[in-house]
Amino acid sequence: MGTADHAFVAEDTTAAQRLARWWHKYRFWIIGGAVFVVLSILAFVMTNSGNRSLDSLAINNPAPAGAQAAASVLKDQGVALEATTSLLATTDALAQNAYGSSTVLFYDPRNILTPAQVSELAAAIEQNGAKLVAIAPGPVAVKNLSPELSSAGSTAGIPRVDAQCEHVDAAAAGTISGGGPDPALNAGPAKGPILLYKGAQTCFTPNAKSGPASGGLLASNSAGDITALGFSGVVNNHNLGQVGNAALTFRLLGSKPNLLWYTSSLNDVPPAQTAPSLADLTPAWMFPAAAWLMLVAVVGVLWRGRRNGPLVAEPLPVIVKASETMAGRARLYQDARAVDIATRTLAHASLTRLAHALRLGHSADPSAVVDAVAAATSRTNAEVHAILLGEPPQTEKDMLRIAADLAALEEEVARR
Amino acid sequence: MAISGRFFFLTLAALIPVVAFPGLLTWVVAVSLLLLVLVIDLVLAASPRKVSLRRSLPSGVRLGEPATAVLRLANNSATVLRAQVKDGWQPSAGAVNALAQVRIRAGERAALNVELLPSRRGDLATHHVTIRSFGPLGMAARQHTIAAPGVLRVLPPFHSKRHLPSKLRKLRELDGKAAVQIRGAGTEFDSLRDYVRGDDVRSIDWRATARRRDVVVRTWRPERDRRVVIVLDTSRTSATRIDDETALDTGIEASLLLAVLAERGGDRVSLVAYDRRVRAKVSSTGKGNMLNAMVQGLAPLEPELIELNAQGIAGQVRDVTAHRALVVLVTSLDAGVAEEGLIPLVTTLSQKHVVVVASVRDPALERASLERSSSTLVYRAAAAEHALNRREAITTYLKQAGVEVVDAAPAELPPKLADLYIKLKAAGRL
Repeated sequence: MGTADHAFVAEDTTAAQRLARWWHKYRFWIIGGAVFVVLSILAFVMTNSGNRSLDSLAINNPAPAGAQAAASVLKDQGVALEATTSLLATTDALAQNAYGSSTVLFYDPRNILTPAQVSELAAAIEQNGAKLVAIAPGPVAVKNLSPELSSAGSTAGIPRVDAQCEHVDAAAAGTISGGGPDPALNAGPAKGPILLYKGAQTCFTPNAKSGPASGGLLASNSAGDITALGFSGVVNNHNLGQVGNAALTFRLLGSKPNLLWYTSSLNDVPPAQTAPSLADLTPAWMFPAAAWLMLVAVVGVLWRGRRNGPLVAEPLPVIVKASETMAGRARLYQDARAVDIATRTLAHASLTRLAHALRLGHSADPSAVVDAVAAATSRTNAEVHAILLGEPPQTEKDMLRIAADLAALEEEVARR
Repeated sequence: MAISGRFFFLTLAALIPVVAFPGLLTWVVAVSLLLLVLVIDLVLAASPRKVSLRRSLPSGVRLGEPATAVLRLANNSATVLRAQVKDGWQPSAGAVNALAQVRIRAGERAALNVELLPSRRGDLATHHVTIRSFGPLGMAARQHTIAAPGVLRVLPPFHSKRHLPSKLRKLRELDGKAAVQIRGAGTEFDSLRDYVRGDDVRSIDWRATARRRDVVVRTWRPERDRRVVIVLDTSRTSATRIDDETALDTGIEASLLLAVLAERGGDRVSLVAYDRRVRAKVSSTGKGNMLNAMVQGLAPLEPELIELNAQGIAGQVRDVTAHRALVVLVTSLDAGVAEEGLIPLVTTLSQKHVVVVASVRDPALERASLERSSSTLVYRAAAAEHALNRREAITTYLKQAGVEVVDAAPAELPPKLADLYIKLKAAGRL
């Protein structure tokens, strides 16, 4: 046993040196990871800053479908604007305002409110002497708002529509967008149906010939406190500046000192109607248990993932299979369908071996070998000549046959 | 730092209070208790940096035989070391128990026996030892890797050793130890002795008979103290694998058998492993165990992926001996390589020396040339016949140039080369 009598000890380094080395080794990943985290947080903060909304007709949505333009103009003109998202909040706010000092904009694009809730809203309006402007209410909702109003179907929309009625606000506005495609304007976001209503006063009838009976974009009851506007595009940012849209919007909404901008939301859905969520169905201990098991999983990863020292490399020598050149040549023959060359090589090899077996020497004449083979076997001279020195074959089938014949011939001579 | 399975199961067990007493307080208590356990264990664990190591390795082990590498650890810290010790042997060293558990009291030592079963010839290395020192609770450990390089030299297996007794017997028959008077059995004059009935009359020395008035015969013995130079080609052609063995490994086996035989036969053997520069050089002119020096020299040889410098071989042979010698070239007879380098070299060498070319023949070629049952196999057979034909042509050319050629399958190359040596010695051609 040869003994290397030399003691190996750990490197004598200080903690600071080790830290420096560790930092040098991992700094790319640490800096890169930190930059990634910071950028992610920044992006998250920026997308959620500014208190912007993406909902249509929201007063804080500056997009074309929003209503920030109308809201800010009304605010500038001294209207106290308050956005509400539930019926309860709206009725509470109504009750707080002085009698007859409020306008309520009611927008329920998803028809969340039940008919009873719509009736409740109408009752609250009447009770507080307020004014209601409903944007595109559904046929059932409009009926519940005021029995004088009713739905008259929907329309595809026309570029512009005139007031054609006695309603003061409508007459003042004159002409408004009708929701249809207008070559002069670039097509606005006229999403949702364009609804028609009939009421005590029916205005903006797109089908002017058949008169008010066919329904108009705007209808109000005889008291004038409930108004339905069939096209939400009149109020949004994109169309507010067109024709008489602004006049109609501000006259309808800015006539009282307070404006409640009520957009329906899921808060209006009665609790009993919502399906129980997954959280309601799982037992209470499930969440803490799952969270702890995740912690346990992290510990398990740290336990199993720590390696006993660095990886050890195995220097592998290059080893090449010797018959690879032979296999490669065979594939070349096959790809080129070199039937003649292959057969000639086989015949030449057989000829050499037969000459050796029959003791004719290396430099024997092929015809002499043929003679000797014919003499040694029961085959005729011509037959042996055809196999050993015959015409090169044209097909693989012929090649196979000759190859088999050559093998048989050698075997016969060897058996002799 | 590392944590143990025990700590994992402790964390898992903490699930029970977390579920039984829901609330933030339970979480805080559970997490801080676990952290406390970690910190206590880490603080109380012996520092793995204060361990010193000594290695003692066997000087050489034959391929296929087990070896034991001893690793001695000294705990220089003031606390008990409970550790997992991992010796970083490369995989082909076949360390059976590379990962061991030790418990060493403060200031004491322990020895670890690492059982190795190498699966590759050459210098196998270990670079480091990793010590994972656990605290008294066995929950957490401090881990450190200490650089502790060590090399185990794995020697060629010398399987062809089994041919040695029979070949030596043949050699001894030549060597006058068996009674031979035929001149063919040797060319060197040994002695004169009285004629006994049965002796070959052709061996009677008439001049001595005339002086002695008694019939005297001459006895002969094979010549001794001849030079044998084995040149082992380690160039790219030696990297070919034939029958689960590289051509280089077969060449090493053949060289070893020939060298041992020639040394017993009284000749002086030199071995040069060469491609573009000398990879190993061993000579029996020096004192000591020739076989041991040879296996030590041949052990780290690997095929080099470069072309053989055939011109350089002549210079190497001249370096080894200025006299006539038996030059054995262990190389390949592949077409192309041989035509460019080997043939001109061999023709030059054979003017002064007796030259033998030993080459491994691929048995797959013969097998492929006999399989002719489908068109793909016939193409294969044709390619095999082509390769054999080219090889045959080179062999014939070399034989015409007065060179002996041994072209055999891996298992037969060593004995055939030994037979050729005995034949040449018997014929007095050395």
